Amino acid sequence: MHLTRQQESVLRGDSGEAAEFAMRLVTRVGDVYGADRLVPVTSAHVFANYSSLNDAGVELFERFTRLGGKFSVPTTVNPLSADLEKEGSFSVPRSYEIKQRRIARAFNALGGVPCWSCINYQFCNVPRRGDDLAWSESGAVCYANSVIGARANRLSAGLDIACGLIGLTPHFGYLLDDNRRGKLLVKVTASIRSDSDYHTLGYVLGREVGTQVPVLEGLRPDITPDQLKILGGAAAAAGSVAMYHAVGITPDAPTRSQALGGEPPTERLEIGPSELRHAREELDQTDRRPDLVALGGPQYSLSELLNVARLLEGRRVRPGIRLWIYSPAYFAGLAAKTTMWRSLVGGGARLVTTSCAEIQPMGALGVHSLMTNSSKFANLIPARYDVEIRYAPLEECVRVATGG
Amino acid sequence: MPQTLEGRTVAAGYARAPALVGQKPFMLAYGIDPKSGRVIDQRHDLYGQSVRGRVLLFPHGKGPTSGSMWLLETIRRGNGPAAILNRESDANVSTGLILGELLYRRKIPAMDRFTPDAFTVIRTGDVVEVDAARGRVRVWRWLTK
Repeated sequence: MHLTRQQESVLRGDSGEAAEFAMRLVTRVGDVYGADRLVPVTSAHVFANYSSLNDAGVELFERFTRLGGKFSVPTTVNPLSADLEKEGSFSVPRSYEIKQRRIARAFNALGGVPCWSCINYQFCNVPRRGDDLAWSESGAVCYANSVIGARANRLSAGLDIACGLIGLTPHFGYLLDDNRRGKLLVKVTASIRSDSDYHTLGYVLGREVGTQVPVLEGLRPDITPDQLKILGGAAAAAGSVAMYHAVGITPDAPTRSQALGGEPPTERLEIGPSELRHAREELDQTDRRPDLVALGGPQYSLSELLNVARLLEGRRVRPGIRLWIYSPAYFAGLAAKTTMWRSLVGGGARLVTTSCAEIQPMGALGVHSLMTNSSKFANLIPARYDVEIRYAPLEECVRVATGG
Repeated sequence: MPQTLEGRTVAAGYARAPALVGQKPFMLAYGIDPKSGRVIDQRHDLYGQSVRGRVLLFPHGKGPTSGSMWLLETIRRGNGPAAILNRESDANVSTGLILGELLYRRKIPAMDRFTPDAFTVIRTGDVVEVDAARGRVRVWRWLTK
């Protein structure tokens, strides 16, 4: 890899020990990827949840703070493994909560922006088309590449922090034009209208295409930013989709031919009503009464919060069921200023603003049966915890949570 | 005579240990228990086996990008593999191993892109020598005859 003189001097320790450590990691991983150089990024987005980072993650973060590290670009952060804003009200083990607090403290000491959100791109870290990014959250990477036309690889945890510290990332993968071209043509013949349809479509897409860049045809032109978020988040979790094109919708795909870079597709695929039905049946494993109804995977935006508020109007959450809605503090704060707030939380629903169902310790929270409208939750949670999933559209989730 | 394979160095180092060969893509995040080194992903063909001290083979990684920290935690607790060999290594493997060296001074080699294909040559239990600095792997098999 070619390094500039300035980068060489960082590697020699001239910019401090934290930057030296970060630079060693970034250059060595970059070499593995055959990166020719490092490029400046406009922002970083990192993991800081204890359930994924483990004790090694606590030590890594604290090593960087001890060495005097500071992020050199705006750096935002994914949700945590415990809702730290409501101490004591969530029954995570004390030792677990302490470790999570240590990571959060170290992240803040490095100068990070404590948004605790997987949808940074909807409010606090909004890139422009063509920006190079150092992000690790796979759903956010998928949105940035596909919907915004920014450039990001799915960085590994640890590498994300290092890139944020030095403000550089290896030049490889989705930063290169060649790898951003769609290869596989996916015709969507199923009728996709509701958010729930996009959840299921994203799941099918991820499972079918794996790591390839699909070109989607047949999506409605009035698809909303939230629906594009849902589609990409689900596909990124079910496969390793880091980028998709939707013809006539996403910026690098004004036409099918442009999305495919003027080449014929390597493969063609059709997703019809039966694929969607099978996926729904696969994700929906139980009729059991849920301990927890979890909404917001990816986290809800303001418009999604207001939509749930409308459904919850005049309803109360049934005893024995918890209804948790995941949304960053920024949107929850705005919702609290609207007349819809009472409908949203007055009936017993809880806004969880710093955490996410995927990374909360479900066993410790006493959750054995979980109902959700999110295919991402339905797909990932049973692989991590001993939890049965009931997968249904939003309206059905609200009906079960509130009765009647 | 051992059989020799050549590949690309992902993380430098030297190891000699029995092989543990997984055929399916491997999910490190929530798929390995750092406290024991055992594979806990029930959908994986190595489910229940310990990677500790073995030359671990899997074709490529899958799942969350936090896998690097699960590998690092496994190494931190002394339950890491002796080496990792892939068809194609990903950022979780390279980041986890390089951090293992930088933070805990445990140098675990990794290599990928082998000729001939490591997955047709190496079987679980073979003794495998990984000399990543030289880009070379040697394989011994105990013959039962």
